Amino acid sequence: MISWNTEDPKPRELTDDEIKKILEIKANFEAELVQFVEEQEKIRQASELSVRQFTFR
Amino acid sequence: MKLVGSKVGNFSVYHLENKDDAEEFCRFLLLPNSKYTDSLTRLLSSCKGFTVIVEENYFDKDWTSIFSHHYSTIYGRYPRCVTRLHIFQGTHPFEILEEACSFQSHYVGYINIYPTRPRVIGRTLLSPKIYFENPTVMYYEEMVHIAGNELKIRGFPFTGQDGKVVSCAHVACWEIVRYLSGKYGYYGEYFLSDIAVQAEDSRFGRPIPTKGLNGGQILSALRSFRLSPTIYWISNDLCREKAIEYAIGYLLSGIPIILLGDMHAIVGIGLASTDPNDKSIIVNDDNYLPYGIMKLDTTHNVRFPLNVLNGFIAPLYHKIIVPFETALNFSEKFGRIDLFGLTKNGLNGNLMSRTFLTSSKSYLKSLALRQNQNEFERIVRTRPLPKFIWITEFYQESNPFQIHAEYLFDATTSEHDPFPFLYLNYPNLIWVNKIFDEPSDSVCFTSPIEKKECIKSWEAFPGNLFWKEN
Repeated sequence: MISWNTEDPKPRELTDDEIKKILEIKANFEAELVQFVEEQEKIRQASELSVRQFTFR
Repeated sequence: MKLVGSKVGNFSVYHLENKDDAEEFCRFLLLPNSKYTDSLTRLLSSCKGFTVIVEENYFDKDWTSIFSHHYSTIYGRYPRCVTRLHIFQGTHPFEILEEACSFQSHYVGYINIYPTRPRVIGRTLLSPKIYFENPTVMYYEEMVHIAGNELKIRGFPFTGQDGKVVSCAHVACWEIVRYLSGKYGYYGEYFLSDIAVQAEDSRFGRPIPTKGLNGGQILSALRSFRLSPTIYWISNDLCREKAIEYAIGYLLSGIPIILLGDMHAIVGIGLASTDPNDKSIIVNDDNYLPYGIMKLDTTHNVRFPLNVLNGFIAPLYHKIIVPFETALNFSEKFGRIDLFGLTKNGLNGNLMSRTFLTSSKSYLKSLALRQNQNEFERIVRTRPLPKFIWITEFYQESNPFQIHAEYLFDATTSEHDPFPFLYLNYPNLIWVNKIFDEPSDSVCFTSPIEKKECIKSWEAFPGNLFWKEN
Protein backbone atom coordinates (compact mmCIF):
# COMPACT_ATOMS: atom_id res chain seq x y z
CA MET A 1 0.00 0.00 0.00
CA ILE A 2 1.51 3.37 -0.99
CA SER A 3 0.74 6.66 0.64
CA TRP A 4 -1.13 9.20 -1.49
CA ASN A 5 0.21 12.06 0.52
CA THR A 6 3.52 12.20 -1.35
CA GLU A 7 4.67 13.64 -4.66
CA ASP A 8 3.55 11.88 -7.85
CA PRO A 9 5.83 8.98 -8.80
CA LYS A 10 8.45 10.05 -11.33
CA PRO A 11 8.65 8.23 -14.66
CA ARG A 12 11.99 6.83 -15.73
CA GLU A 13 13.53 7.68 -19.11
CA LEU A 14 12.69 5.44 -22.04
CA THR A 15 15.71 3.51 -23.24
CA ASP A 16 16.88 3.94 -26.85
CA ASP A 17 15.79 0.40 -27.51
CA GLU A 18 12.30 1.09 -26.15
CA ILE A 19 11.93 4.28 -28.19
CA LYS A 20 13.01 2.44 -31.34
CA LYS A 21 10.53 -0.35 -30.63
CA ILE A 22 7.69 2.08 -29.94
CA LEU A 23 8.23 4.01 -33.17
CA GLU A 24 8.39 0.75 -35.09
CA ILE A 25 5.15 -0.42 -33.50
CA LYS A 26 3.47 2.90 -34.22
CA ALA A 27 4.39 2.75 -37.90
CA ASN A 28 3.21 -0.86 -38.21
CA PHE A 29 0.05 -0.24 -36.22
CA GLU A 30 -1.01 2.67 -38.36
CA ALA A 31 -0.72 0.71 -41.60
CA GLU A 32 -2.37 -2.41 -40.18
CA LEU A 33 -5.10 -0.48 -38.44
CA VAL A 34 -6.23 1.40 -41.54
CA GLN A 35 -6.51 -1.91 -43.37
CA PHE A 36 -8.31 -3.62 -40.47
CA VAL A 37 -10.84 -0.80 -39.97
CA GLU A 38 -11.56 -0.62 -43.71
CA GLU A 39 -12.14 -4.38 -43.86
CA GLN A 40 -14.46 -4.25 -40.84
CA GLU A 41 -16.38 -1.34 -42.33
CA LYS A 42 -16.95 -3.31 -45.55
CA ILE A 43 -18.18 -6.30 -43.51
CA ARG A 44 -20.49 -4.05 -41.49
CA GLN A 45 -21.97 -2.43 -44.60
CA ALA A 46 -22.54 -5.84 -46.20
CA SER A 47 -24.12 -7.06 -42.94
CA GLU A 48 -26.47 -4.09 -42.85
CA LEU A 49 -27.56 -4.72 -46.45
CA SER A 50 -28.03 -8.47 -45.84
CA VAL A 51 -30.08 -8.10 -42.68
CA ARG A 52 -32.57 -5.81 -44.44
CA GLN A 53 -33.68 -8.79 -46.51
CA PHE A 54 -34.79 -10.81 -43.48
CA THR A 55 -37.88 -10.33 -41.39
CA PHE A 56 -38.01 -11.32 -37.73
CA ARG A 57 -41.39 -12.16 -36.25
CA MET B 1 -54.74 -23.96 -5.92
CA LYS B 2 -56.17 -22.48 -2.80
CA LEU B 3 -57.76 -19.07 -2.32
CA VAL B 4 -56.45 -17.71 0.98
CA GLY B 5 -58.94 -15.60 2.92
CA SER B 6 -61.45 -13.67 0.88
CA LYS B 7 -61.20 -11.46 -2.17
CA VAL B 8 -60.67 -7.83 -1.10
CA GLY B 9 -61.37 -5.15 -3.68
CA ASN B 10 -59.16 -5.93 -6.68
CA PHE B 11 -56.93 -8.28 -4.72
CA SER B 12 -56.97 -11.99 -3.93
CA VAL B 13 -54.27 -14.27 -2.50
CA TYR B 14 -53.57 -17.81 -3.73
CA HIS B 15 -51.32 -20.62 -2.53
CA LEU B 16 -49.82 -22.90 -5.13
CA GLU B 17 -48.23 -25.92 -3.53
CA ASN B 18 -47.70 -28.44 -6.32
CA LYS B 19 -47.78 -28.96 -10.08
CA ASP B 20 -51.53 -29.60 -10.15
CA ASP B 21 -52.14 -26.26 -8.39
CA ALA B 22 -49.88 -24.49 -10.87
CA GLU B 23 -51.65 -26.05 -13.86
CA GLU B 24 -55.08 -25.19 -12.51
CA PHE B 25 -54.00 -21.62 -11.76
CA CYS B 26 -52.54 -21.08 -15.24
CA ARG B 27 -55.64 -22.51 -16.94
CA PHE B 28 -57.73 -20.19 -14.79
CA LEU B 29 -55.64 -17.14 -15.71
CA LEU B 30 -54.46 -17.67 -19.21
CA LEU B 31 -57.03 -20.03 -20.73
CA PRO B 32 -55.58 -23.32 -22.01
CA ASN B 33 -54.78 -22.16 -25.54
CA SER B 34 -52.19 -19.52 -24.62
CA LYS B 35 -48.69 -20.42 -25.73
CA TYR B 36 -47.44 -19.23 -22.36
CA THR B 37 -49.47 -21.68 -20.25
CA ASP B 38 -46.74 -24.33 -20.20
CA SER B 39 -43.94 -21.87 -19.33
CA LEU B 40 -45.91 -20.31 -16.51
CA THR B 41 -46.92 -23.71 -15.19
CA ARG B 42 -43.28 -24.82 -15.19
CA LEU B 43 -42.22 -21.70 -13.28
CA LEU B 44 -44.95 -21.98 -10.67
CA SER B 45 -44.30 -25.67 -10.08
CA SER B 46 -40.51 -25.21 -9.82
CA CYS B 47 -40.51 -24.48 -6.10
CA LYS B 48 -42.09 -26.09 -3.03
CA GLY B 49 -44.70 -23.38 -2.91
CA PHE B 50 -45.63 -19.93 -4.10
CA THR B 51 -48.00 -17.28 -2.82
CA VAL B 52 -49.51 -15.25 -5.63
CA ILE B 53 -51.31 -11.97 -5.04
CA VAL B 54 -53.64 -11.43 -7.99
CA GLU B 55 -54.44 -7.78 -8.69
CA GLU B 56 -57.30 -7.20 -11.12
CA ASN B 57 -57.91 -3.94 -13.02
CA TYR B 58 -54.28 -2.88 -13.00
CA PHE B 59 -53.40 -0.01 -15.36
CA ASP B 60 -50.32 -1.15 -17.27
CA LYS B 61 -48.61 1.65 -19.24
CA ASP B 62 -47.49 -0.66 -22.04
CA TRP B 63 -50.90 -2.30 -22.44
CA THR B 64 -52.48 1.16 -22.38
CA SER B 65 -50.14 2.18 -25.22
CA ILE B 66 -51.13 -0.70 -27.53
CA PHE B 67 -54.74 -0.51 -26.35
CA SER B 68 -55.04 3.09 -27.53
CA HIS B 69 -52.91 2.40 -30.63
CA HIS B 70 -55.04 -0.53 -31.80
CA TYR B 71 -57.37 -2.46 -29.47
CA SER B 72 -59.58 0.48 -28.58
CA THR B 73 -60.11 1.27 -32.25
CA ILE B 74 -61.64 -2.01 -33.41
CA TYR B 75 -65.12 -3.52 -33.07
CA GLY B 76 -64.25 -6.27 -30.56
CA ARG B 77 -64.22 -5.03 -26.96
CA TYR B 78 -61.05 -5.33 -24.93
CA PRO B 79 -60.59 -4.25 -21.30
CA ARG B 80 -58.46 -1.21 -20.58
CA CYS B 81 -56.86 -2.91 -17.60
CA VAL B 82 -54.79 -6.03 -17.08
CA THR B 83 -54.34 -8.67 -14.40
CA ARG B 84 -51.15 -8.41 -12.40
CA LEU B 85 -49.61 -11.33 -10.50
CA HIS B 86 -47.23 -10.62 -7.63
CA ILE B 87 -45.24 -13.75 -6.87
CA PHE B 88 -43.68 -14.63 -3.49
CA GLN B 89 -41.63 -17.72 -2.76
CA GLY B 90 -43.15 -19.87 -0.01
CA THR B 91 -46.72 -20.06 1.26
CA HIS B 92 -47.61 -17.10 3.45
CA PRO B 93 -50.75 -16.09 5.39
CA PHE B 94 -53.38 -13.67 4.11
CA GLU B 95 -51.63 -10.85 6.02
CA ILE B 96 -49.14 -10.71 3.15
CA LEU B 97 -51.65 -8.47 1.40
CA GLU B 98 -51.74 -5.95 4.23
CA GLU B 99 -48.02 -6.02 4.99
CA ALA B 100 -46.42 -6.99 1.70
CA CYS B 101 -43.21 -5.06 2.44
CA SER B 102 -42.50 -7.37 5.40
CA PHE B 103 -42.23 -10.15 2.81
CA GLN B 104 -39.67 -8.32 0.62
CA SER B 105 -37.10 -11.13 0.91
CA HIS B 106 -39.63 -13.60 -0.59
CA TYR B 107 -40.78 -11.34 -3.43
CA VAL B 108 -39.63 -12.58 -6.86
CA GLY B 109 -41.44 -10.17 -9.13
CA TYR B 110 -44.58 -9.57 -11.15
CA ILE B 111 -46.19 -10.85 -14.34
CA ASN B 112 -48.89 -8.83 -16.10
CA ILE B 113 -51.45 -10.78 -18.12
CA TYR B 114 -52.80 -8.84 -21.13
CA PRO B 115 -56.47 -9.39 -22.03
CA THR B 116 -55.92 -10.20 -25.71
CA ARG B 117 -57.54 -13.27 -27.28
CA PRO B 118 -55.82 -15.60 -26.46
CA ARG B 119 -54.36 -13.92 -23.41
CA VAL B 120 -50.63 -13.24 -23.45
CA ILE B 121 -47.99 -12.49 -20.88
CA GLY B 122 -47.26 -8.78 -20.95
CA ARG B 123 -44.80 -6.61 -19.06
CA THR B 124 -42.98 -8.80 -16.58
CA LEU B 125 -40.12 -8.24 -14.18
CA LEU B 126 -38.89 -11.38 -12.45
CA SER B 127 -35.78 -11.78 -10.36
CA PRO B 128 -33.15 -13.98 -12.04
CA LYS B 129 -32.53 -15.38 -8.54
CA ILE B 130 -35.49 -17.73 -9.16
CA TYR B 131 -33.32 -19.58 -11.67
CA PHE B 132 -29.70 -18.82 -10.77
CA GLU B 133 -27.90 -18.73 -7.43
CA ASN B 134 -25.35 -16.14 -8.62
CA PRO B 135 -26.92 -14.55 -11.66
CA THR B 136 -24.63 -12.97 -14.23
CA VAL B 137 -27.29 -10.99 -16.06
CA MET B 138 -28.02 -7.32 -16.65
CA TYR B 139 -30.70 -5.90 -14.42
CA TYR B 140 -32.33 -2.73 -13.18
CA GLU B 141 -34.37 -2.01 -10.10
CA GLU B 142 -38.01 -1.01 -10.05
CA MET B 143 -40.31 -0.04 -7.19
CA VAL B 144 -43.61 -1.91 -7.11
CA HIS B 145 -46.76 -1.06 -5.14
CA ILE B 146 -49.11 -3.63 -3.64
CA ALA B 147 -52.10 -2.16 -1.85
CA GLY B 148 -50.02 0.74 -0.55
CA ASN B 149 -46.91 -1.28 0.25
CA GLU B 150 -43.74 -0.50 -1.64
CA LEU B 151 -41.45 -3.36 -2.65
CA LYS B 152 -38.43 -3.42 -4.92
CA ILE B 153 -37.62 -5.89 -7.62
CA ARG B 154 -34.58 -6.31 -9.84
CA GLY B 155 -34.37 -8.07 -13.16
CA PHE B 156 -34.36 -7.64 -16.92
CA PRO B 157 -37.68 -6.50 -18.44
CA PHE B 158 -39.69 -8.98 -20.47
CA THR B 159 -42.90 -9.00 -22.45
CA GLY B 160 -44.66 -11.43 -24.75
CA GLN B 161 -46.05 -10.65 -28.20
CA ASP B 162 -49.70 -10.43 -29.19
CA GLY B 163 -48.92 -11.19 -32.85
CA LYS B 164 -51.14 -8.35 -34.07
CA VAL B 165 -49.34 -5.15 -33.11
CA VAL B 166 -46.21 -6.57 -31.58
CA SER B 167 -43.80 -9.22 -32.95
CA CYS B 168 -40.60 -10.71 -31.52
CA ALA B 169 -38.57 -7.93 -33.15
CA HIS B 170 -40.73 -5.23 -31.51
CA VAL B 171 -40.33 -7.04 -28.18
CA ALA B 172 -36.55 -7.24 -28.57
CA CYS B 173 -36.30 -3.47 -29.20
CA TRP B 174 -38.70 -2.70 -26.33
CA GLU B 175 -36.83 -4.89 -23.80
CA ILE B 176 -33.52 -3.21 -24.60
CA VAL B 177 -34.90 0.32 -24.54
CA ARG B 178 -36.87 -0.31 -21.34
CA TYR B 179 -33.80 -1.80 -19.63
CA LEU B 180 -31.67 1.20 -20.62
CA SER B 181 -34.28 3.74 -19.53
CA GLY B 182 -34.74 1.90 -16.23
CA LYS B 183 -31.00 1.81 -15.60
CA TYR B 184 -29.70 5.09 -17.01
CA GLY B 185 -31.30 8.54 -16.92
CA TYR B 186 -29.97 9.38 -20.40
CA TYR B 187 -32.52 7.21 -22.22
CA GLY B 188 -36.21 8.06 -22.37
CA GLU B 189 -38.96 5.58 -21.63
CA TYR B 190 -40.67 4.20 -24.72
CA PHE B 191 -43.73 1.99 -25.02
CA LEU B 192 -44.62 -0.92 -27.25
CA SER B 193 -46.73 1.32 -29.48
CA ASP B 194 -43.74 3.69 -29.95
CA ILE B 195 -41.77 0.80 -31.47
CA ALA B 196 -44.73 -0.06 -33.71
CA VAL B 197 -44.99 3.57 -34.86
CA GLN B 198 -41.26 3.67 -35.66
CA ALA B 199 -41.68 0.57 -37.81
CA GLU B 200 -44.58 2.21 -39.67
CA ASP B 201 -42.26 5.05 -40.57
CA SER B 202 -40.09 2.65 -42.52
CA ARG B 203 -42.88 2.09 -45.05
CA PHE B 204 -42.34 -1.65 -45.20
CA GLY B 205 -45.25 -4.06 -45.01
CA ARG B 206 -48.54 -3.53 -43.17
CA PRO B 207 -48.15 -2.36 -39.60
CA ILE B 208 -51.22 -4.31 -38.43
CA PRO B 209 -51.36 -7.26 -38.45
CA THR B 210 -47.62 -7.07 -38.00
CA LYS B 211 -45.44 -9.24 -40.19
CA GLY B 212 -42.47 -8.54 -37.94
CA LEU B 213 -39.62 -6.14 -38.61
CA ASN B 214 -36.76 -6.53 -41.02
CA GLY B 215 -33.19 -5.88 -39.92
CA GLY B 216 -33.23 -2.34 -41.34
CA GLN B 217 -36.37 -1.47 -39.38
CA ILE B 218 -34.85 -2.79 -36.15
CA LEU B 219 -31.73 -0.66 -36.70
CA SER B 220 -33.81 2.38 -37.57
CA ALA B 221 -36.03 1.96 -34.49
CA LEU B 222 -32.99 1.65 -32.21
CA ARG B 223 -31.39 4.74 -33.77
CA SER B 224 -34.55 6.74 -33.10
CA PHE B 225 -34.22 5.85 -29.40
CA ARG B 226 -30.78 7.56 -29.09
CA LEU B 227 -28.78 4.39 -29.68
CA SER B 228 -26.01 3.74 -32.18
CA PRO B 229 -26.48 0.08 -33.15
CA THR B 230 -23.84 -1.98 -34.91
CA ILE B 231 -24.61 -5.22 -36.72
CA TYR B 232 -22.73 -8.49 -37.19
CA TRP B 233 -24.13 -10.85 -39.83
CA ILE B 234 -22.59 -14.27 -40.43
CA SER B 235 -21.13 -14.55 -43.93
CA ASN B 236 -17.94 -15.63 -45.71
CA ASP B 237 -16.24 -12.65 -44.04
CA LEU B 238 -17.52 -13.29 -40.53
CA CYS B 239 -17.64 -16.88 -39.31
CA ARG B 240 -20.10 -18.00 -36.63
CA GLU B 241 -17.31 -18.70 -34.13
CA LYS B 242 -16.08 -15.10 -34.38
CA ALA B 243 -19.62 -13.72 -34.19
CA ILE B 244 -20.24 -15.70 -30.98
CA GLU B 245 -16.94 -14.41 -29.55
CA TYR B 246 -18.00 -10.83 -30.32
CA ALA B 247 -21.50 -11.41 -28.92
CA ILE B 248 -20.02 -12.70 -25.66
CA GLY B 249 -17.63 -9.71 -25.57
CA TYR B 250 -20.59 -7.30 -25.70
CA LEU B 251 -22.52 -9.26 -23.05
CA LEU B 252 -19.46 -9.24 -20.79
CA SER B 253 -19.50 -5.47 -21.33
CA GLY B 254 -23.05 -5.22 -19.99
CA ILE B 255 -24.57 -4.43 -23.39
CA PRO B 256 -27.75 -6.38 -24.19
CA ILE B 257 -27.81 -7.64 -27.79
CA ILE B 258 -30.47 -8.77 -30.25
CA LEU B 259 -29.66 -12.29 -31.41
CA LEU B 260 -31.03 -13.04 -34.87
CA GLY B 261 -31.99 -16.56 -35.86
CA ASP B 262 -34.10 -17.92 -38.71
CA MET B 263 -36.96 -15.35 -38.78
CA HIS B 264 -36.77 -14.95 -35.00
CA ALA B 265 -35.17 -12.31 -32.77
CA ILE B 266 -34.42 -12.68 -29.06
CA VAL B 267 -32.43 -10.66 -26.54
CA GLY B 268 -29.11 -11.76 -25.04
CA ILE B 269 -28.96 -10.42 -21.48
CA GLY B 270 -26.14 -12.23 -19.73
CA LEU B 271 -23.83 -15.21 -19.48
CA ALA B 272 -24.82 -18.46 -17.81
CA SER B 273 -21.50 -18.81 -16.00
CA THR B 274 -18.39 -16.89 -15.02
CA ASP B 275 -16.25 -19.66 -16.52
CA PRO B 276 -14.54 -18.07 -19.57
CA ASN B 277 -14.78 -21.38 -21.44
CA ASP B 278 -18.55 -21.65 -21.02
CA LYS B 279 -20.22 -20.13 -24.10
CA SER B 280 -23.80 -20.27 -22.77
CA ILE B 281 -25.87 -17.11 -23.08
CA ILE B 282 -28.86 -16.10 -20.95
CA VAL B 283 -31.65 -14.82 -23.16
CA ASN B 284 -35.21 -13.54 -23.17
CA ASP B 285 -37.23 -15.33 -25.85
CA ASP B 286 -40.75 -13.93 -26.07
CA ASN B 287 -42.17 -17.41 -26.69
CA TYR B 288 -41.29 -18.44 -23.13
CA LEU B 289 -40.76 -16.78 -19.77
CA PRO B 290 -37.49 -14.82 -19.25
CA TYR B 291 -34.01 -16.18 -18.52
CA GLY B 292 -33.74 -19.01 -21.03
CA ILE B 293 -30.34 -20.54 -21.74
CA MET B 294 -28.86 -20.73 -25.21
CA LYS B 295 -25.93 -23.10 -25.61
CA LEU B 296 -24.02 -24.05 -28.73
CA ASP B 297 -26.30 -26.93 -29.65
CA THR B 298 -28.92 -27.13 -26.90
CA THR B 299 -31.47 -24.73 -25.47
CA HIS B 300 -33.68 -24.19 -22.45
CA ASN B 301 -36.69 -21.89 -22.93
CA VAL B 302 -35.28 -20.57 -26.21
CA ARG B 303 -36.34 -21.39 -29.72
CA PHE B 304 -32.88 -21.74 -31.33
CA PRO B 305 -29.32 -22.67 -30.22
CA LEU B 306 -26.15 -20.68 -30.91
CA ASN B 307 -25.04 -22.94 -33.76
CA VAL B 308 -27.89 -21.63 -35.94
CA LEU B 309 -27.32 -17.99 -35.05
CA ASN B 310 -27.36 -15.79 -38.17
CA GLY B 311 -26.11 -12.60 -36.59
CA PHE B 312 -26.66 -10.06 -33.87
CA ILE B 313 -27.18 -6.35 -33.26
CA ALA B 314 -25.31 -4.52 -30.50
CA PRO B 315 -27.13 -1.28 -29.59
CA LEU B 316 -24.27 0.93 -28.44
CA TYR B 317 -24.30 4.26 -26.63
CA HIS B 318 -23.51 6.89 -29.27
CA LYS B 319 -20.16 7.84 -27.70
CA ILE B 320 -18.82 4.27 -27.90
CA ILE B 321 -16.93 4.66 -31.16
CA VAL B 322 -14.48 1.76 -31.00
CA PRO B 323 -16.34 -1.54 -31.51
CA PHE B 324 -15.40 -4.81 -29.83
CA GLU B 325 -13.43 -6.30 -32.74
CA THR B 326 -11.17 -3.23 -32.98
CA ALA B 327 -10.51 -3.25 -29.22
CA LEU B 328 -9.72 -6.96 -29.43
CA ASN B 329 -7.37 -6.33 -32.34
CA PHE B 330 -5.45 -3.68 -30.34
CA SER B 331 -5.13 -5.80 -27.25
CA GLU B 332 -3.98 -8.86 -29.20
CA LYS B 333 -1.27 -6.77 -30.89
CA PHE B 334 -0.07 -5.20 -27.65
CA GLY B 335 -0.14 -8.57 -25.95
CA ARG B 336 1.98 -10.12 -28.69
CA ILE B 337 4.55 -7.33 -28.67
CA ASP B 338 4.96 -7.37 -24.90
CA LEU B 339 6.85 -4.08 -24.99
CA PHE B 340 7.92 -3.94 -21.37
CA GLY B 341 8.58 -7.61 -20.91
CA LEU B 342 5.63 -9.14 -19.11
CA THR B 343 7.34 -12.41 -19.90
CA LYS B 344 10.30 -11.32 -17.75
CA ASN B 345 8.04 -11.67 -14.74
CA GLY B 346 7.79 -15.41 -15.22
CA LEU B 347 4.29 -15.23 -16.70
CA ASN B 348 5.07 -16.33 -20.21
CA GLY B 349 3.26 -19.09 -21.95
CA ASN B 350 -0.12 -19.61 -20.43
CA LEU B 351 -1.59 -16.14 -20.13
CA MET B 352 -5.18 -15.89 -21.32
CA SER B 353 -7.04 -12.64 -21.86
CA ARG B 354 -10.54 -11.21 -21.86
CA THR B 355 -11.61 -7.89 -23.35
CA PHE B 356 -14.69 -5.96 -22.29
CA LEU B 357 -16.08 -2.46 -22.12
CA THR B 358 -17.11 -0.60 -19.01
CA SER B 359 -17.85 2.91 -17.89
CA SER B 360 -14.99 4.74 -16.22
CA LYS B 361 -17.30 5.24 -13.23
CA SER B 362 -17.66 1.46 -12.69
CA TYR B 363 -13.97 0.91 -13.27
CA LEU B 364 -12.90 3.60 -10.79
CA LYS B 365 -15.26 2.14 -8.18
CA SER B 366 -13.59 -1.24 -8.64
CA LEU B 367 -10.11 0.35 -8.33
CA ALA B 368 -11.07 1.92 -5.01
CA LEU B 369 -11.98 -1.54 -3.71
CA ARG B 370 -8.74 -3.25 -4.75
CA GLN B 371 -6.82 -4.76 -1.85
CA ASN B 372 -3.36 -3.70 -2.89
CA GLN B 373 -3.40 0.00 -3.79
CA ASN B 374 -0.16 0.93 -5.57
CA GLU B 375 1.05 3.62 -7.96
CA PHE B 376 -1.38 2.48 -10.67
CA GLU B 377 -4.54 2.97 -8.59
CA ARG B 378 -3.25 6.29 -7.31
CA ILE B 379 -2.56 7.63 -10.82
CA VAL B 380 -5.76 6.37 -12.47
CA ARG B 381 -8.10 7.31 -9.62
CA THR B 382 -6.84 10.87 -9.56
CA ARG B 383 -6.88 11.68 -13.28
CA PRO B 384 -9.62 12.02 -15.87
CA LEU B 385 -10.80 9.06 -17.94
CA PRO B 386 -13.12 8.93 -20.97
CA LYS B 387 -16.75 7.98 -20.31
CA PHE B 388 -16.19 4.45 -21.65
CA ILE B 389 -13.07 2.31 -21.71
CA TRP B 390 -12.18 -1.06 -23.16
CA ILE B 391 -10.19 -3.22 -20.76
CA THR B 392 -8.11 -6.29 -21.49
CA GLU B 393 -7.20 -8.41 -18.49
CA PHE B 394 -4.50 -11.08 -18.62
CA TYR B 395 -4.84 -14.09 -16.33
CA GLN B 396 -3.61 -17.62 -15.97
CA GLU B 397 -6.05 -20.38 -16.88
CA SER B 398 -5.83 -21.83 -13.38
CA ASN B 399 -7.28 -18.62 -11.87
CA PRO B 400 -9.29 -16.33 -14.17
CA PHE B 401 -10.00 -13.89 -11.31
CA GLN B 402 -6.38 -12.95 -10.50
CA ILE B 403 -4.95 -10.53 -13.05
CA HIS B 404 -1.29 -10.22 -14.04
CA ALA B 405 -1.57 -7.31 -16.48
CA GLU B 406 -4.28 -5.03 -17.81
CA TYR B 407 -4.63 -2.61 -20.71
CA LEU B 408 -7.04 0.30 -20.74
CA PHE B 409 -8.17 1.68 -24.12
CA ASP B 410 -10.22 4.75 -24.92
CA ALA B 411 -13.57 3.53 -26.35
CA THR B 412 -14.55 7.04 -27.39
CA THR B 413 -11.57 7.72 -29.67
CA SER B 414 -11.49 7.35 -33.44
CA GLU B 415 -11.27 3.83 -34.83
CA HIS B 416 -8.19 5.08 -36.71
CA ASP B 417 -6.27 6.06 -33.57
CA PRO B 418 -3.16 3.86 -33.75
CA PHE B 419 -2.35 4.25 -30.06
CA PRO B 420 -5.72 4.35 -28.25
CA PHE B 421 -4.42 2.90 -25.01
CA LEU B 422 -4.61 4.98 -21.85
CA TYR B 423 -2.71 2.84 -19.36
CA LEU B 424 -0.85 -0.43 -19.42
CA ASN B 425 -0.58 -1.90 -15.93
CA TYR B 426 2.16 -4.49 -15.50
CA PRO B 427 3.35 -6.15 -12.28
CA ASN B 428 6.44 -3.93 -12.15
CA LEU B 429 5.55 -0.81 -14.14
CA ILE B 430 2.84 1.43 -15.54
CA TRP B 431 2.83 2.99 -18.96
CA VAL B 432 0.69 6.09 -19.34
CA ASN B 433 -0.54 7.58 -22.61
CA LYS B 434 -2.25 10.90 -23.33
CA ILE B 435 -2.86 11.42 -19.67
CA PHE B 436 -3.79 15.07 -20.06
CA ASP B 437 -5.60 14.44 -23.34
CA GLU B 438 -3.66 17.08 -25.25
CA PRO B 439 -4.64 17.32 -28.90
CA SER B 440 -1.52 16.35 -30.79
CA ASP B 441 -0.60 14.43 -33.89
CA SER B 442 2.45 12.99 -32.25
CA VAL B 443 2.61 10.08 -29.89
CA CYS B 444 2.48 11.80 -26.53
CA PHE B 445 2.93 9.00 -24.03
CA THR B 446 5.09 9.50 -21.00
CA SER B 447 7.92 7.27 -19.95
CA PRO B 448 7.08 4.21 -17.89
CA ILE B 449 6.72 4.51 -14.15
CA GLU B 450 8.44 1.79 -12.20
CA LYS B 451 6.46 0.48 -9.23
CA LYS B 452 8.24 0.52 -5.90
CA GLU B 453 7.12 -3.01 -5.31
CA CYS B 454 6.37 -5.68 -7.92
CA ILE B 455 2.70 -6.69 -7.59
CA LYS B 456 2.43 -10.15 -9.11
CA SER B 457 -1.36 -10.18 -9.41
CA TRP B 458 -4.51 -8.34 -8.36
CA GLU B 459 -8.29 -8.86 -8.35
CA ALA B 460 -10.15 -8.93 -11.65
CA PHE B 461 -12.78 -6.29 -12.40
CA PRO B 462 -15.92 -7.72 -10.76
CA GLY B 463 -17.73 -7.41 -14.07
CA ASN B 464 -20.62 -5.56 -15.57
CA LEU B 465 -22.87 -8.56 -14.89
CA PHE B 466 -22.03 -8.74 -11.20
CA TRP B 467 -25.15 -9.28 -9.03
CA LYS B 468 -25.09 -7.11 -5.91
CA GLU B 469 -27.13 -8.43 -3.00
CA ASN B 470 -29.39 -5.93 -1.24
